[in-house]
Amino acid sequence: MGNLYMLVGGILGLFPMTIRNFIGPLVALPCRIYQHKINEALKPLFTERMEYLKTPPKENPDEPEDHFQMILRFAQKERPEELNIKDIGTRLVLANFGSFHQTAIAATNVLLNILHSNKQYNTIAVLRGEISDVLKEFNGVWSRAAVAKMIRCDSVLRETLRINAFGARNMVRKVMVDGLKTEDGKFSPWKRYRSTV
Amino acid sequence: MQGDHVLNGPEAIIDMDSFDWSTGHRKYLTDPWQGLVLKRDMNAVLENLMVALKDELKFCFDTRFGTNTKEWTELDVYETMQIVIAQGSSRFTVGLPLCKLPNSRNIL
Repeated sequence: MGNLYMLVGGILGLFPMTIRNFIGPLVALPCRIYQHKINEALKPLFTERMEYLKTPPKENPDEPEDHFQMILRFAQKERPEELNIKDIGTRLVLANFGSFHQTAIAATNVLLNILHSNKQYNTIAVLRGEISDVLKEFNGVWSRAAVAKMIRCDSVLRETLRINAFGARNMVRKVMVDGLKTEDGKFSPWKRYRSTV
Repeated sequence: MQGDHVLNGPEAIIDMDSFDWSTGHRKYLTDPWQGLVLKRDMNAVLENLMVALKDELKFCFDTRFGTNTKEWTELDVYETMQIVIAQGSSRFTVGLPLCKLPNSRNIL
């Protein structure tokens, strides 16, 4: 679904806003169908979890503590009008879009970078050694403290994010007012975008 | 420093990725509480999730990348990684058994 979002965004991005208003619904039709299928798959879980919402939070010990339940609890308290399968389904997909898409790209790059590193550094053996040493210290349990100790793994992850960063632009902002001027006198027209590289 | 009414981040993202049409409504991004919930509540239960996450990831890596160390097979790393991440992450979003669906990648 995330890939579909990107595809639709890419296709519609080719057109100016005025045309997008007309072809948007058509191009995004696969998204609607996909979302419907996901909602259908989520429906049994949704009805099951709605039962837990009848008791106050933290009272039922059987209540699962996952993201879906957190979303439902928040919706129940703060956005009761969105407590339906369509809104919850879309929100879940969007939350996943943020977490999956970037992680999948980063994890792929990590793997490729490890395999691609120069032979004399022996990266795989070094990382394996570090992981087994740290895990021995923590009796084989992957905990936050254990992961925080794996500095070589951390270094690989950080370097990967630095070298293979995706999205070269940051802090994209839309100009919402007419005639915005920065402190050094640069003029930003209305409805344009500003970002840092 | 400018307020949201002057320079707006979500509005720019919505326009750039055409989320108006792909999600069906802009409220999902102008009021993105699904992410805030994750930020606010997830840290508290993170430690409990780690064990389940490790099991799930081990299972995914074993099934998707294979455990045969004798013969070479060809696979698309990005494709496979998408499935692994989707399945692992779904373990703490929707939990068992939904995360094991063969098409769980669709939620990606």
